[in-house]
Amino acid sequence: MRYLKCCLVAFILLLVQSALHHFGLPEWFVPQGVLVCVVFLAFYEFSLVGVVLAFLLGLLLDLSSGVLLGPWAGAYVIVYAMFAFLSQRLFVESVVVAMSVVALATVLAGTVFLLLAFEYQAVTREDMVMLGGQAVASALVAPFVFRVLSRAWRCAHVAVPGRASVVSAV
Amino acid sequence: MRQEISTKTHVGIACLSLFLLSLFLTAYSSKNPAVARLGTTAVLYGVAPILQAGELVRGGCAGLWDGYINLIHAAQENRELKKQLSNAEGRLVVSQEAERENLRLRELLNFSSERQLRGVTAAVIGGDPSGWVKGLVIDKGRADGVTPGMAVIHPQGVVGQVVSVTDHAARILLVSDHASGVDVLMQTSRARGVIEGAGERVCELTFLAKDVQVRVGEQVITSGMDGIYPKGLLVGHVSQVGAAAVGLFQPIEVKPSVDLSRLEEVLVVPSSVSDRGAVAPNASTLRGQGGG
Repeated sequence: MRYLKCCLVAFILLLVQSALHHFGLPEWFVPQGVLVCVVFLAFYEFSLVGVVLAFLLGLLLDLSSGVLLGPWAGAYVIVYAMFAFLSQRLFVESVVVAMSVVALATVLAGTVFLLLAFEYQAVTREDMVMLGGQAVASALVAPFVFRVLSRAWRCAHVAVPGRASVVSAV
Repeated sequence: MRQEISTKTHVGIACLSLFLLSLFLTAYSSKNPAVARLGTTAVLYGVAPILQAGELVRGGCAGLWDGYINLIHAAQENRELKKQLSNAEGRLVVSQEAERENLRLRELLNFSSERQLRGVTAAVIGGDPSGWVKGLVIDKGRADGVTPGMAVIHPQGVVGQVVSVTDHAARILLVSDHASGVDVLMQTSRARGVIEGAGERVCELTFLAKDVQVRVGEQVITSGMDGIYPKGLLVGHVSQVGAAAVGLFQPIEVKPSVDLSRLEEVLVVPSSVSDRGAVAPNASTLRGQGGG
C-alpha cells in the first residue's frame, strides 16, 4: 500500500512539475519532486522494491519527455544506490539535512542525466544554472514531500530502519 | 548480520543491473526514437486530462488574483466603492483577457490565411516535467486531426513539431531542444543549413559552408526540405557569427523569433509533404484562403 502511495505522490508531483512551467516558473527553478521521492525511498526503503521503484519513477519521467528512454531511469538508480548506501551512515530526520541531501541528489541526477544523454545533448552554461536552480527548488519542497511520504510509511507500521543510533554525517 | 549483508548485495546487484538496463535503453532509444515514444502516449493519456483541468483552474485563479490586487487598490482610494470597483475591475480583467486571447487567435487566423495554411489552433497546457527537455503539451490531439510529425508554428515563427498524440492532447518538441532539427535557408544568400536546438534561448545553425557571407540580424527561414515545416516560415535571426579555424562549416548562433517560454496558443499544421486536407474540420480548425 505504501508503495502505491509513493507512486501516487510521485505522479502528482510529476503533474505539478509539468504545470509549473506553464504557471510562469522558469525551467531552471522547477523542483524535481519525483527525485525527492526517490531520495526518500533511498533512506526509508532499502530493498529490491526500492531500487525497482526508483528505476520505474525515472522511466516515468523519461516517458513524460518522450525523447530518450533511459537517462532519467539510470540517473535515479544511481541516486538511489548512492543514498541508500549512505543511509547506513546518515539519517534525514532533520529538515536541513533532508534539504541538503535532496539538493545534492538533484545535482547528481542532473549530472548523470547529462552524461547519459551526452551524445545528443551538449553541456552548456544554461545546464549549470539549471542544476543549481533545480537543486535549490527541490531542496525547498523536500521537507513537505518527506513529511507526506513519512506518514504513508508510518501508517503501514513499518519501522524506519534504526539509524537514530547511527552517527549523523552532518 | 548475514541477512543485512545479503540485502546489501541484492540491492547492489539490482542497482547495477537496472543502471545497465537504462544504459541499453538510452542507446537503443537514441537510435530508434519510435521506441521512446511508445510509452509516451500512454503517459500523456494520464497526464493531459489533469493538465487541462489545471489550465481551467489557472485561468480562474489568475482572474481572482487580478481582482484581488485591484480590490486592494480600490480600497485605498475609496472604501465605499471598494466592492463595486473590484467587481468592475474583475470583469474588466476577464474581458481584457478575452480580448487579448481574441487578438492572439485572430493573429493566428490571419497568419494561416495569409500563408494559405490549414491547421488547428491549440492552447498550451503544460511543459516538460524535468525541465531538461524543451517540450510542451497542447490541448488538441488525434480527434482534432493532430498526428506525430506535424509542424507547430506561431505568427512569429516556428515553434516545434508534434512527437506524440493522444485523443485530446499532444506533446511538442520545441526547436530549442537539442534533439530538434530544422532544414533552413539564409534569407539573403539562400544558402542551406540545419538549425539545431542549443538550449532555452538559442539555436545553432550547422552545415553552413564557410564561404557563405552571414551577418548578424539576418533572417533564417524554413526551406521546406525536411518534410515537416512549410517553406518560408521565420525560424529566427542570426545573433552571433563565429570564426571557425578548422572544418568546412562556420559556427552560427540563431535566436528563435518566437519566445518559446511564453507561448499560450499555437497553430498545428500538417507536414509539408502530407495532404493538408487531412486535418479534421471542427470549430477550431483554421482554413486558409486556398486551403493548401
